Amino acid sequence: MSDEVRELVRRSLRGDQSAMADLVDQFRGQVFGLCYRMLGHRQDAEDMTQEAFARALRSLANWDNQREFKPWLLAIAGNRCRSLQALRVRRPKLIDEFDALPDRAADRQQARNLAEEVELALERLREDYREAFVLFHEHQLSYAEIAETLDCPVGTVKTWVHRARRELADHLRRRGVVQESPDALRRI
Amino acid sequence: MRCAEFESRLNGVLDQRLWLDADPPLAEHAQTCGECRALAACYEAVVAGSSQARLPQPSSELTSRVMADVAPRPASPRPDEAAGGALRRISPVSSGRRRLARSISSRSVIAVAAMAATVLAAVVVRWGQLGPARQPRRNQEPLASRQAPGDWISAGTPGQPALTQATPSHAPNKTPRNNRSPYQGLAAETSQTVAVAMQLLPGVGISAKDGGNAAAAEPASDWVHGVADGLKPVTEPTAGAVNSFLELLATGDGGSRS
Repeated sequence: MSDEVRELVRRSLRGDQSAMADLVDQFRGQVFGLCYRMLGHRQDAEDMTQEAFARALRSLANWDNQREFKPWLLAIAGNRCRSLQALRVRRPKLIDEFDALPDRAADRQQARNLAEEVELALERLREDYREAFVLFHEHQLSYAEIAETLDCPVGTVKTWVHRARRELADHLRRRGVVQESPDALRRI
Repeated sequence: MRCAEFESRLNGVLDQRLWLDADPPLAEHAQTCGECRALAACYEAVVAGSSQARLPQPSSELTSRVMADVAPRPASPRPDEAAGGALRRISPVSSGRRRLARSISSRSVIAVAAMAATVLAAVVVRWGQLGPARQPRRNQEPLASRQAPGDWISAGTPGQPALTQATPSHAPNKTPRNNRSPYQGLAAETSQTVAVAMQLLPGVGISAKDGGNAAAAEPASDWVHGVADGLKPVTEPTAGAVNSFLELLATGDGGSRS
Protein backbone atom coordinates (compact mmCIF):
# COMPACT_ATOMS: atom_id res chain seq x y z
CA MET A 1 0.00 0.00 0.00
CA SER A 2 1.24 3.43 -0.84
CA ASP A 3 2.48 5.73 1.85
CA GLU A 4 -0.05 8.24 0.66
CA VAL A 5 -2.92 6.01 1.71
CA ARG A 6 -1.26 5.27 5.04
CA GLU A 7 -0.91 8.95 5.67
CA LEU A 8 -4.54 9.57 4.75
CA VAL A 9 -5.62 6.86 7.15
CA ARG A 10 -3.42 8.27 9.89
CA ARG A 11 -4.89 11.72 9.45
CA SER A 12 -8.41 10.34 9.26
CA LEU A 13 -7.89 8.59 12.57
CA ARG A 14 -7.05 11.97 14.05
CA GLY A 15 -10.39 13.25 12.79
CA ASP A 16 -9.16 15.10 9.73
CA GLN A 17 -12.25 15.45 7.54
CA SER A 18 -10.35 16.39 4.42
CA ALA A 19 -8.23 13.24 4.70
CA MET A 20 -11.38 11.17 4.94
CA ALA A 21 -12.78 12.85 1.86
CA ASP A 22 -9.54 12.19 -0.02
CA LEU A 23 -9.68 8.56 1.00
CA VAL A 24 -13.22 8.27 -0.33
CA ASP A 25 -12.28 10.00 -3.58
CA GLN A 26 -9.34 7.68 -4.09
CA PHE A 27 -11.32 4.45 -3.78
CA ARG A 28 -14.87 5.38 -4.67
CA GLY A 29 -14.62 4.16 -8.25
CA GLN A 30 -13.35 0.74 -7.26
CA VAL A 31 -15.77 0.27 -4.41
CA PHE A 32 -18.66 1.38 -6.57
CA GLY A 33 -17.48 -0.90 -9.39
CA LEU A 34 -17.50 -3.93 -7.13
CA CYS A 35 -20.90 -3.04 -5.71
CA TYR A 36 -22.29 -2.50 -9.18
CA ARG A 37 -20.98 -5.85 -10.37
CA MET A 38 -22.39 -7.62 -7.36
CA LEU A 39 -25.77 -5.94 -7.33
CA GLY A 40 -26.36 -5.12 -10.99
CA HIS A 41 -28.20 -1.96 -10.05
CA ARG A 42 -26.77 1.50 -10.04
CA GLN A 43 -28.71 3.05 -7.18
CA ASP A 44 -28.26 0.05 -4.93
CA ALA A 45 -24.57 0.04 -5.75
CA GLU A 46 -24.27 3.68 -4.83
CA ASP A 47 -26.13 3.15 -1.55
CA MET A 48 -23.91 0.25 -0.66
CA THR A 49 -20.81 2.22 -1.62
CA GLN A 50 -21.88 4.96 0.75
CA GLU A 51 -22.57 2.47 3.52
CA ALA A 52 -19.27 0.71 2.96
CA PHE A 53 -17.28 3.93 3.17
CA ALA A 54 -19.18 5.07 6.24
CA ARG A 55 -18.50 1.77 7.97
CA ALA A 56 -14.88 1.76 6.93
CA LEU A 57 -14.28 5.28 8.16
CA ARG A 58 -15.96 4.57 11.47
CA SER A 59 -13.88 1.46 12.01
CA LEU A 60 -10.57 2.69 10.64
CA ALA A 61 -9.00 1.92 14.01
CA ASN A 62 -9.70 -1.76 13.41
CA TRP A 63 -7.70 -1.84 10.20
CA ASP A 64 -4.37 -3.61 10.56
CA ASN A 65 -1.94 -1.16 8.98
CA GLN A 66 0.45 -4.00 8.19
CA ARG A 67 -2.02 -5.16 5.56
CA GLU A 68 -3.28 -3.65 2.35
CA PHE A 69 -6.04 -1.11 2.68
CA LYS A 70 -7.86 -1.85 -0.55
CA PRO A 71 -8.76 -5.50 0.15
CA TRP A 72 -10.00 -4.51 3.59
CA LEU A 73 -12.18 -1.79 2.11
CA LEU A 74 -13.47 -4.03 -0.67
CA ALA A 75 -14.24 -6.75 1.85
CA ILE A 76 -16.49 -4.32 3.72
CA ALA A 77 -18.20 -3.37 0.47
CA GLY A 78 -18.64 -7.02 -0.49
CA ASN A 79 -20.17 -7.81 2.87
CA ARG A 80 -22.60 -4.92 2.56
CA CYS A 81 -23.65 -6.11 -0.87
CA ARG A 82 -24.14 -9.67 0.33
CA SER A 83 -26.28 -8.42 3.20
CA LEU A 84 -28.44 -6.48 0.78
CA GLN A 85 -28.71 -9.44 -1.55
CA ALA A 86 -29.87 -11.57 1.33
CA LEU A 87 -32.57 -9.06 2.14
CA ARG A 88 -33.97 -8.15 -1.18
CA VAL A 89 -35.62 -10.04 -3.93
CA ARG A 90 -33.46 -9.48 -6.92
CA ARG A 91 -34.93 -7.35 -9.59
CA PRO A 92 -35.70 -8.95 -12.94
CA LYS A 93 -32.58 -8.86 -15.00
CA LEU A 94 -32.21 -7.61 -18.49
CA ILE A 95 -30.31 -10.76 -19.24
CA ASP A 96 -33.54 -12.72 -19.42
CA GLU A 97 -34.85 -10.46 -22.16
CA PHE A 98 -31.51 -10.51 -23.85
CA ASP A 99 -31.48 -14.28 -23.99
CA ALA A 100 -34.68 -14.21 -26.00
CA LEU A 101 -32.89 -12.43 -28.81
CA PRO A 102 -31.72 -14.54 -31.74
CA ASP A 103 -28.12 -15.67 -31.54
CA ARG A 104 -25.39 -14.89 -34.02
CA ALA A 105 -26.56 -11.48 -35.06
CA ALA A 106 -24.37 -10.77 -38.04
CA ASP A 107 -24.39 -7.01 -37.80
CA ARG A 108 -23.10 -6.88 -34.25
CA GLN A 109 -20.43 -4.37 -33.61
CA GLN A 110 -17.66 -6.55 -32.33
CA ALA A 111 -15.87 -4.27 -29.91
CA ARG A 112 -18.97 -2.91 -28.25
CA ASN A 113 -20.68 -6.25 -28.05
CA LEU A 114 -17.72 -8.03 -26.60
CA ALA A 115 -17.77 -5.83 -23.50
CA GLU A 116 -21.55 -5.99 -23.29
CA GLU A 117 -21.58 -9.74 -23.72
CA VAL A 118 -19.00 -10.16 -21.00
CA GLU A 119 -21.01 -7.91 -18.71
CA LEU A 120 -24.18 -9.85 -19.37
CA ALA A 121 -22.39 -13.12 -18.88
CA LEU A 122 -20.99 -11.83 -15.61
CA GLU A 123 -24.49 -11.22 -14.40
CA ARG A 124 -25.27 -14.86 -14.88
CA LEU A 125 -22.29 -16.15 -13.01
CA ARG A 126 -22.49 -17.61 -9.58
CA GLU A 127 -21.96 -14.82 -7.07
CA ASP A 128 -18.63 -16.00 -5.69
CA TYR A 129 -17.27 -16.72 -9.18
CA ARG A 130 -18.29 -13.26 -10.30
CA GLU A 131 -16.80 -11.51 -7.32
CA ALA A 132 -13.51 -13.35 -7.65
CA PHE A 133 -13.33 -12.73 -11.41
CA VAL A 134 -14.13 -9.02 -11.05
CA LEU A 135 -11.59 -8.54 -8.31
CA PHE A 136 -8.92 -10.27 -10.37
CA HIS A 137 -9.56 -8.89 -13.86
CA GLU A 138 -11.21 -5.54 -13.21
CA HIS A 139 -9.67 -4.50 -9.92
CA GLN A 140 -6.33 -6.14 -10.63
CA LEU A 141 -6.08 -7.62 -7.15
CA SER A 142 -3.69 -10.50 -6.57
CA TYR A 143 -5.00 -13.90 -5.56
CA ALA A 144 -3.72 -13.33 -2.03
CA GLU A 145 -5.57 -10.04 -1.79
CA ILE A 146 -8.75 -11.57 -3.15
CA ALA A 147 -8.46 -14.37 -0.64
CA GLU A 148 -8.17 -11.76 2.09
CA THR A 149 -11.12 -9.82 0.71
CA LEU A 150 -13.36 -12.85 0.40
CA ASP A 151 -11.99 -14.51 3.52
CA CYS A 152 -11.28 -17.82 1.84
CA PRO A 153 -8.20 -19.81 0.77
CA VAL A 154 -6.15 -18.77 -2.25
CA GLY A 155 -6.79 -22.14 -3.90
CA THR A 156 -10.51 -21.58 -3.69
CA VAL A 157 -10.17 -18.15 -5.26
CA LYS A 158 -8.13 -19.61 -8.14
CA THR A 159 -10.74 -22.26 -8.72
CA TRP A 160 -13.50 -19.65 -8.77
CA VAL A 161 -11.63 -17.43 -11.23
CA HIS A 162 -10.86 -20.38 -13.54
CA ARG A 163 -14.48 -21.52 -13.49
CA ALA A 164 -15.65 -17.98 -14.14
CA ARG A 165 -13.40 -17.77 -17.20
CA ARG A 166 -14.66 -21.06 -18.47
CA GLU A 167 -18.33 -20.12 -18.04
CA LEU A 168 -17.79 -16.72 -19.64
CA ALA A 169 -15.95 -18.30 -22.56
CA ASP A 170 -18.77 -20.78 -22.95
CA HIS A 171 -21.28 -17.94 -22.97
CA LEU A 172 -19.35 -16.04 -25.64
CA ARG A 173 -19.16 -19.17 -27.77
CA ARG A 174 -22.88 -19.84 -27.45
CA ARG A 175 -23.68 -16.26 -28.27
CA GLY A 176 -21.49 -16.43 -31.37
CA VAL A 177 -19.32 -13.57 -30.24
CA VAL A 178 -16.14 -15.47 -30.98
CA GLN A 179 -16.07 -16.40 -34.63
CA GLU A 180 -14.81 -19.93 -34.60
CA SER A 181 -16.03 -23.26 -35.82
CA PRO A 182 -18.92 -24.45 -33.58
CA ASP A 183 -17.27 -27.84 -33.29
CA ALA A 184 -14.05 -26.37 -32.15
CA LEU A 185 -15.20 -25.57 -28.65
CA ARG A 186 -16.77 -28.81 -27.64
CA ARG A 187 -14.50 -29.05 -24.66
CA ILE A 188 -15.71 -25.85 -23.05
CA MET B 1 1.75 -30.80 -25.19
CA ARG B 2 -1.56 -32.61 -25.04
CA CYS B 3 -4.96 -30.94 -25.40
CA ALA B 4 -5.92 -32.07 -21.89
CA GLU B 5 -3.22 -29.88 -20.42
CA PHE B 6 -3.94 -26.87 -22.56
CA GLU B 7 -6.71 -25.24 -20.60
CA SER B 8 -5.09 -25.51 -17.18
CA ARG B 9 -1.82 -24.21 -18.59
CA LEU B 10 -3.67 -21.38 -20.31
CA ASN B 11 -5.26 -20.47 -16.99
CA GLY B 12 -1.83 -20.49 -15.42
CA VAL B 13 -0.60 -17.97 -17.97
CA LEU B 14 -3.67 -15.77 -17.51
CA ASP B 15 -3.19 -15.91 -13.74
CA GLN B 16 0.13 -14.16 -14.29
CA ARG B 17 -1.67 -11.55 -16.42
CA LEU B 18 0.24 -12.76 -19.47
CA TRP B 19 -0.78 -14.23 -22.80
CA LEU B 20 0.06 -17.23 -24.94
CA ASP B 21 3.32 -15.71 -26.13
CA ALA B 22 4.70 -16.06 -22.62
CA ASP B 23 4.52 -19.84 -22.93
CA PRO B 24 6.02 -20.99 -26.25
CA PRO B 25 4.86 -24.63 -26.00
CA LEU B 26 1.33 -23.36 -25.37
CA ALA B 27 1.46 -21.04 -28.37
CA GLU B 28 2.85 -23.81 -30.60
CA HIS B 29 0.08 -26.17 -29.58
CA ALA B 30 -2.57 -23.52 -30.25
CA GLN B 31 -1.19 -23.08 -33.77
CA THR B 32 -1.40 -26.77 -34.55
CA CYS B 33 -4.71 -27.64 -32.78
CA GLY B 34 -7.86 -25.86 -33.99
CA GLU B 35 -9.89 -26.86 -30.96
CA CYS B 36 -7.37 -25.45 -28.51
CA ARG B 37 -6.91 -22.37 -30.67
CA ALA B 38 -10.67 -21.70 -30.47
CA LEU B 39 -10.55 -22.19 -26.73
CA ALA B 40 -7.70 -19.72 -26.47
CA ALA B 41 -9.69 -17.25 -28.60
CA CYS B 42 -12.65 -17.48 -26.24
CA TYR B 43 -10.45 -16.93 -23.20
CA GLU B 44 -8.81 -13.99 -24.90
CA ALA B 45 -12.23 -12.50 -25.61
CA VAL B 46 -13.24 -12.91 -21.98
CA VAL B 47 -10.16 -11.11 -20.72
CA ALA B 48 -10.41 -8.41 -23.38
CA GLY B 49 -14.12 -7.94 -22.79
CA SER B 50 -13.65 -7.55 -19.04
CA SER B 51 -11.00 -4.90 -19.57
CA GLN B 52 -13.17 -3.06 -22.11
CA ALA B 53 -16.23 -3.16 -19.91
CA ARG B 54 -17.19 0.32 -18.85
CA LEU B 55 -18.62 0.60 -15.43
CA PRO B 56 -20.85 3.54 -14.62
CA GLN B 57 -19.31 6.08 -12.30
CA PRO B 58 -20.79 6.95 -8.94
CA SER B 59 -22.51 10.28 -8.64
CA SER B 60 -20.45 13.30 -7.75
CA GLU B 61 -22.32 13.73 -4.46
CA LEU B 62 -21.17 10.39 -3.15
CA THR B 63 -18.21 11.80 -1.24
CA SER B 64 -20.27 14.54 0.38
CA ARG B 65 -22.94 12.03 1.34
CA VAL B 66 -20.36 9.78 2.94
CA MET B 67 -18.87 12.70 4.83
CA ALA B 68 -22.30 13.73 6.05
CA ASP B 69 -22.87 10.16 7.14
CA VAL B 70 -19.71 9.95 9.23
CA ALA B 71 -19.87 13.46 10.61
CA PRO B 72 -20.39 13.50 14.38
CA ARG B 73 -24.03 14.14 15.17
CA PRO B 74 -25.42 15.97 18.17
CA ALA B 75 -26.92 13.62 20.71
CA SER B 76 -30.63 13.14 20.20
CA PRO B 77 -32.66 14.78 22.95
CA ARG B 78 -34.41 12.63 25.52
CA PRO B 79 -38.20 12.62 25.44
CA ASP B 80 -38.30 14.78 28.57
CA GLU B 81 -35.81 17.19 27.07
CA ALA B 82 -37.75 17.24 23.83
CA ALA B 83 -40.75 18.37 25.84
CA GLY B 84 -38.98 21.57 26.73
CA GLY B 85 -36.86 20.23 29.52
CA ALA B 86 -39.71 20.77 31.98
CA LEU B 87 -39.19 17.42 33.62
CA ARG B 88 -35.53 18.09 33.99
CA ARG B 89 -36.25 21.38 35.72
CA ILE B 90 -38.70 19.74 38.07
CA SER B 91 -36.44 16.85 38.92
CA PRO B 92 -32.85 17.86 38.39
CA VAL B 93 -31.43 14.37 38.76
CA SER B 94 -28.36 13.49 36.82
CA SER B 95 -28.62 10.64 34.35
CA GLY B 96 -26.25 8.50 36.44
CA ARG B 97 -28.37 8.90 39.53
CA ARG B 98 -31.49 8.26 37.49
CA ARG B 99 -30.01 5.00 36.21
CA LEU B 100 -29.00 4.05 39.76
CA ALA B 101 -32.50 4.79 41.04
CA ARG B 102 -34.01 2.69 38.28
CA SER B 103 -31.61 -0.13 39.06
CA ILE B 104 -32.29 -0.06 42.79
CA SER B 105 -35.99 0.13 42.16
CA SER B 106 -36.00 -2.95 39.97
CA ARG B 107 -33.76 -4.85 42.36
CA SER B 108 -35.99 -3.92 45.30
CA VAL B 109 -39.06 -5.18 43.50
CA ILE B 110 -37.33 -8.49 42.81
CA ALA B 111 -36.14 -8.79 46.41
CA VAL B 112 -39.56 -7.99 47.88
CA ALA B 113 -41.25 -10.46 45.55
CA ALA B 114 -38.73 -13.16 46.44
CA MET B 115 -39.14 -12.60 50.14
CA ALA B 116 -42.92 -12.61 49.92
CA ALA B 117 -42.72 -15.89 48.02
CA THR B 118 -40.38 -17.28 50.67
CA VAL B 119 -42.69 -16.34 53.53
CA LEU B 120 -45.60 -17.91 51.70
CA ALA B 121 -43.55 -21.04 51.02
CA ALA B 122 -42.56 -21.26 54.69
CA VAL B 123 -46.20 -21.05 55.75
CA VAL B 124 -47.21 -23.70 53.24
CA VAL B 125 -44.38 -26.01 54.28
CA ARG B 126 -45.19 -25.56 57.93
CA TRP B 127 -48.85 -26.17 57.25
CA GLY B 128 -47.91 -29.35 55.41
CA GLN B 129 -45.87 -30.52 58.37
CA LEU B 130 -48.75 -29.96 60.77
CA GLY B 131 -51.46 -31.36 58.57
CA PRO B 132 -50.59 -35.07 59.05
CA ALA B 133 -50.36 -34.65 62.81
CA ARG B 134 -54.01 -33.81 62.94
CA GLN B 135 -54.93 -37.05 61.18
CA PRO B 136 -52.32 -39.73 61.90
CA ARG B 137 -51.56 -41.99 58.97
CA ARG B 138 -52.05 -45.70 59.08
CA ASN B 139 -49.10 -47.87 60.14
CA GLN B 140 -47.77 -44.96 62.03
CA GLU B 141 -46.17 -45.85 65.30
CA PRO B 142 -48.35 -45.17 68.38
CA LEU B 143 -48.45 -41.61 69.39
CA ALA B 144 -47.41 -42.55 72.91
CA SER B 145 -44.05 -43.88 71.80
CA ARG B 146 -43.29 -40.64 70.06
CA GLN B 147 -44.15 -38.41 72.90
CA ALA B 148 -41.46 -36.94 74.97
CA PRO B 149 -41.53 -37.51 78.73
CA GLY B 150 -43.59 -34.93 80.45
CA ASP B 151 -46.07 -34.65 77.64
CA TRP B 152 -49.71 -35.20 78.15
CA ILE B 153 -50.65 -38.07 75.84
CA SER B 154 -53.73 -39.93 74.88
CA ALA B 155 -52.86 -43.63 74.91
CA GLY B 156 -56.13 -45.09 75.97
CA THR B 157 -58.54 -47.23 74.07
CA PRO B 158 -62.14 -46.31 73.38
CA GLY B 159 -64.13 -46.63 76.52
CA GLN B 160 -61.12 -46.44 78.78
CA PRO B 161 -60.07 -42.92 79.43
CA ALA B 162 -56.40 -43.12 79.90
CA LEU B 163 -54.96 -39.70 79.98
CA THR B 164 -51.56 -40.27 81.46
CA GLN B 165 -48.91 -37.88 82.52
CA ALA B 166 -45.39 -38.96 82.04
CA THR B 167 -43.01 -38.48 84.90
CA PRO B 168 -41.71 -34.94 84.71
CA SER B 169 -38.45 -35.98 86.39
CA HIS B 170 -37.40 -37.89 83.25
CA ALA B 171 -37.01 -34.70 81.32
CA PRO B 172 -36.74 -31.80 83.63
CA ASN B 173 -35.48 -29.35 81.01
CA LYS B 174 -38.18 -30.03 78.43
CA THR B 175 -41.31 -28.02 78.13
CA PRO B 176 -44.49 -30.03 77.93
CA ARG B 177 -45.67 -30.06 74.35
CA ASN B 178 -49.17 -28.92 75.15
CA ASN B 179 -47.74 -25.85 76.82
CA ARG B 180 -45.91 -24.89 73.71
CA SER B 181 -47.43 -23.89 70.41
CA PRO B 182 -46.25 -26.06 67.51
CA TYR B 183 -46.07 -22.86 65.49
CA GLN B 184 -43.96 -21.05 67.96
CA GLY B 185 -40.82 -21.19 65.89
CA LEU B 186 -42.52 -20.21 62.69
CA ALA B 187 -41.41 -16.64 62.75
CA ALA B 188 -37.84 -17.64 63.54
CA GLU B 189 -37.80 -20.27 60.81
CA THR B 190 -39.31 -17.81 58.39
CA SER B 191 -36.69 -15.23 59.14
CA GLN B 192 -33.98 -17.86 58.70
CA THR B 193 -35.49 -18.93 55.40
CA VAL B 194 -35.65 -15.33 54.26
CA ALA B 195 -32.00 -14.86 55.16
CA VAL B 196 -31.03 -17.97 53.19
CA ALA B 197 -33.14 -16.85 50.27
CA MET B 198 -31.46 -13.48 50.34
CA GLN B 199 -28.15 -15.26 49.99
CA LEU B 200 -29.39 -16.76 46.78
CA LEU B 201 -30.60 -13.50 45.33
CA PRO B 202 -28.26 -12.31 42.61
CA GLY B 203 -26.38 -9.17 43.24
CA VAL B 204 -27.22 -8.59 46.86
CA GLY B 205 -23.62 -9.05 47.82
CA ILE B 206 -23.87 -11.88 50.33
CA SER B 207 -21.31 -14.61 50.00
CA ALA B 208 -22.68 -18.05 49.25
CA LYS B 209 -19.77 -19.65 51.06
CA ASP B 210 -21.70 -19.61 54.30
CA GLY B 211 -23.54 -22.69 53.19
CA GLY B 212 -26.93 -21.27 53.90
CA ASN B 213 -26.21 -20.62 57.55
CA ALA B 214 -28.64 -17.92 58.46
CA ALA B 215 -26.49 -16.72 61.30
CA ALA B 216 -23.63 -16.24 58.92
CA ALA B 217 -25.74 -14.41 56.42
CA GLU B 218 -24.34 -11.06 57.29
CA PRO B 219 -25.36 -8.71 54.53
CA ALA B 220 -22.45 -7.41 52.61
CA SER B 221 -24.11 -4.25 51.49
CA ASP B 222 -26.15 -1.53 53.02
CA TRP B 223 -28.70 -2.07 50.34
CA VAL B 224 -29.69 -5.41 51.88
CA HIS B 225 -30.10 -3.80 55.27
CA GLY B 226 -32.24 -1.16 53.69
CA VAL B 227 -34.49 -3.66 51.99
CA ALA B 228 -34.80 -5.78 55.13
CA ASP B 229 -35.68 -2.72 57.22
CA GLY B 230 -38.13 -1.62 54.60
CA LEU B 231 -39.84 -5.01 54.76
CA LYS B 232 -40.31 -5.04 58.51
CA PRO B 233 -43.63 -3.19 58.46
CA VAL B 234 -44.88 -5.90 56.12
CA THR B 235 -43.27 -9.04 57.48
CA GLU B 236 -43.91 -8.50 61.19
CA PRO B 237 -47.69 -8.00 60.99
CA THR B 238 -47.85 -10.81 58.47
CA ALA B 239 -45.95 -13.18 60.74
CA GLY B 240 -48.14 -12.18 63.67
CA ALA B 241 -51.30 -12.77 61.69
CA VAL B 242 -50.06 -16.12 60.44
CA ASN B 243 -49.11 -17.19 63.95
CA SER B 244 -52.51 -16.19 65.33
CA PHE B 245 -54.24 -18.09 62.56
CA LEU B 246 -52.19 -21.21 63.16
CA GLU B 247 -52.67 -21.05 66.89
CA LEU B 248 -56.38 -20.84 66.30
CA LEU B 249 -56.19 -23.92 64.14
CA ALA B 250 -54.07 -25.71 66.72
CA THR B 251 -56.53 -24.95 69.45
CA GLY B 252 -59.35 -26.47 67.48
CA ASP B 253 -57.19 -29.45 66.61
CA GLY B 254 -56.19 -30.14 70.20
CA GLY B 255 -59.80 -30.09 71.26
CA SER B 256 -60.74 -32.72 68.75
CA ARG B 257 -57.88 -34.98 69.78
CA SER B 258 -58.66 -34.89 73.48
